[in-house]
Amino acid sequence: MKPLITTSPVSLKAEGEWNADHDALISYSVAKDFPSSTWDWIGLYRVGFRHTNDYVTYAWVKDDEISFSEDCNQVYINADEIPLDGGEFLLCYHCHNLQCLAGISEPFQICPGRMLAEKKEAQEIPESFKPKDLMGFES
Amino acid sequence: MAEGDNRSANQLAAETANLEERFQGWGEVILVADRIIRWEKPWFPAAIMGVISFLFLMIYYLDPSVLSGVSCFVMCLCLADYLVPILAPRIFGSKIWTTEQQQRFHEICSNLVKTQRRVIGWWKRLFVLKEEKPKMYFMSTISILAVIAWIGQQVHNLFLTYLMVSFLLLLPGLNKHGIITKYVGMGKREINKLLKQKEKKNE
Repeated sequence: MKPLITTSPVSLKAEGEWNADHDALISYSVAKDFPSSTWDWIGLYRVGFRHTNDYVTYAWVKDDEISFSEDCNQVYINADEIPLDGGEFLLCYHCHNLQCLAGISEPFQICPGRMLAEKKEAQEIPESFKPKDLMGFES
Repeated sequence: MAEGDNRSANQLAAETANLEERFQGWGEVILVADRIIRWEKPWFPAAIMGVISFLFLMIYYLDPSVLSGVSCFVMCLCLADYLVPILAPRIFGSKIWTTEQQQRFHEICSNLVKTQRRVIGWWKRLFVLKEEKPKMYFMSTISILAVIAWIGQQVHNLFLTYLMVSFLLLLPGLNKHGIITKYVGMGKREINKLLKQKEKKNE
């Protein structure tokens, strides 16, 4: 038996260094005559995921488009949606018309965000030492 | 490569820059409003609710017709559009913005562009659904609109408007404090579980 498709119609790549401190960039290119749709999305998955819906976050390919050209399109993911603790992840392109994952990127590292380090530091400060304002709220 | 052939420009940056230029005269007002609606001080949510409640009590007391109310509202917008760029430098002073203020203004414009794209995206997806699954589209829209119409009948018109306006103005603060993210995250996880169960049953 021969496979119907030998190369995936979509190739994905995570651009630059990823962490939760700034928006992240994804570059992808689609094959000619690929049936794209406004319902297509690119999901961020932890390595070892088992189901299409086990994404950590996702970006709509049309809504979140930064740039487009004949060879390559770029999409962003909001910094707020990137996991603070980091880890090993990969990107998958979900095609609505084919109802499947049409492309998978290579695994890549997301670095822990700076906010996580600040949050951990804040948690380590005993309650009595935390600065409070006149209303009693922490400042 | 000729400029006309290069479509690979950063569209998001271009749209954000365009919006920043349009809102230049409103910059200080936008920054102050941003601090208020994101609850920079703990008493801001109470102040927001107080102002909204006062406005709606005035509307309830004056009881204007829909046409008068809409005309007055648009008139206020026009006056603000004319007066704010003139008065803002006199009230806030013509100081040069700090890097932090510039960055925050840029973030606000960027968020507005992203929100606009999200709304347009959902609008387009709705029309694609209409073409692909017309029966499902028809049933969903009729059901949702029927529920909304029923809610509109159960709750007093002005009170419902008051609740919606309050929610919209409190939303940025709720979002910043992670309340929305928490419950949306819970909702998404439940929907994912249901979808997985449905797939297992189909298999």
